[in-house]
Amino acid sequence: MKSLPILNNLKKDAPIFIYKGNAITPDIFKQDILLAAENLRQHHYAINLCEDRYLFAVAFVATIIQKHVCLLPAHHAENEIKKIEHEYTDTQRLDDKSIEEFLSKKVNTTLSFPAEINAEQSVAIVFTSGSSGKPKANTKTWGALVDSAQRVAAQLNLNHEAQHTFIATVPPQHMYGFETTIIYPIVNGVCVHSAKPFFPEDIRQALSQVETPVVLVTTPIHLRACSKAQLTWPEVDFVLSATAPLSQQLARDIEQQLQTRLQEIYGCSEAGVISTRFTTQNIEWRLLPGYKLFDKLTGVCLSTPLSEHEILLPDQIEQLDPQHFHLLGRQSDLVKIAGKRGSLNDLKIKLSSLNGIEDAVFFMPSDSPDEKTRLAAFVIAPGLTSREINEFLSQHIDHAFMPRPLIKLDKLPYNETGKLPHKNLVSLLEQYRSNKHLKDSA
Amino acid sequence: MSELSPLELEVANLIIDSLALEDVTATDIEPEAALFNEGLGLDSIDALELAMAISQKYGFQLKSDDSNNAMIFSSLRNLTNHIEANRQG
Repeated sequence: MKSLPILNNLKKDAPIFIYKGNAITPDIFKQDILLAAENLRQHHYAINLCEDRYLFAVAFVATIIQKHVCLLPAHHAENEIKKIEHEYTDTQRLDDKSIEEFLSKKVNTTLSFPAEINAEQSVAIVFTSGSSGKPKANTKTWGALVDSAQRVAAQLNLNHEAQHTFIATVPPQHMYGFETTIIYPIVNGVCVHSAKPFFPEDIRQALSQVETPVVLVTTPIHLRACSKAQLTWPEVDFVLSATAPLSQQLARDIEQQLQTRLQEIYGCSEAGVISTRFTTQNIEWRLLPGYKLFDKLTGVCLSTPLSEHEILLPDQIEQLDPQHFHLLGRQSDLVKIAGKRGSLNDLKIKLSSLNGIEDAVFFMPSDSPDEKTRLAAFVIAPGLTSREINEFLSQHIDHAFMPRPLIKLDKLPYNETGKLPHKNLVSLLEQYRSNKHLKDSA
Repeated sequence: MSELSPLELEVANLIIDSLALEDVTATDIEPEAALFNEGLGLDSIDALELAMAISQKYGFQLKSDDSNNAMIFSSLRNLTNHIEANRQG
């Protein structure tokens, strides 16, 4: 069976993490991993809730060498974690505190660090949050993660030679953050700062604390905030953005304000990174080398050199040539907010389970990537207040899908064939907004 | 309904406008009630949106390493006090 090296192929003196201001070389990392592995309880699964990227990485590799599987929940709400524990019964939880505690124990470890890991070993399960129902599990083998990381590195020229340090705003439990900030240092030897800045000023400070060349790994939501913050930015070698496509205009604004280049990534939790583009130059996406797209009745599918079966992509895609494609948008029922995919119909079903809801519709008012990406909802519920409806929703759906606004109506704008066309919904929302504006200024 | 100070009323309207809380009016916001999770039920996307609106209107940047951050965002009154203390011009 094929095995692949883990950490032993990296340059010994090049740091792969910055943790609490300290440069962590592969050897220091390995010592910490062994210490954590020694202290792990023997359970088949470990839910990795670490927020610090370095502690997350220590926990992740410790579970690999103990042949446990890391579970990565889409978010940390207690009821979501309970759902996972209910399904994966032999489980322990790992968080920053527990890993820090492991690392503070000075035990003589009896474990030795393996040179290689079996490529077939399942090392992680990444959960995709649906807007409702059970989280969907995507199992990752060591071989598939290494293969994908190497292909991305080749396409984007990421390696330790370039001595890049990554500053990232995305959580390590999400596939995009997991690949870029956990797998790339381990496989490609890039250096990752363990912090997770949030507000534009946090991002600016984090970037200026790192010696160049620095790479910002982030999302359109953060970039939009940064572009409006009117800050003076330190030098940034390039920006990686994923979770939703950017417009060329916002990409140009970012490149101008940060004096940088912007690379976008398109991918999904099932396959990880699929393609990249240099947005201000090309709107078409370039597939990773060796990846293939093909049409099926159900939509466009992807095959990768290591995938056992094809992966149906959740977006509408127009293939231009074997290496390039256009992303045309989501399939109409699907929405994506803050990296979370949801179904408008699922949301409606969820809301309809509340007594007193007579009819309801969720929709995305604007498809423009430069505007706020928030859903709107029209609801017919004469006996309920907006507050009661919102309270119910916040307990039953992911917060990213909360409607802004939720508007109570007497009837929904059905057309003569009994459908609710998107343009009717949008024009009713606009009407509502301008009436409100008139009322407010009166 | 609790009385809002003029600046609290202004900040309440900024929250409502920047987050499209069209079914809420400024006087619905209890000055001491939680803005996030409970209360208005705001989340991290909202926090970024609100930070953008605050920096544009009041000319200063919010930071998450501010040790008082949890306190600043805990209620309309605390957020207003923070804006009062940090606003430029």
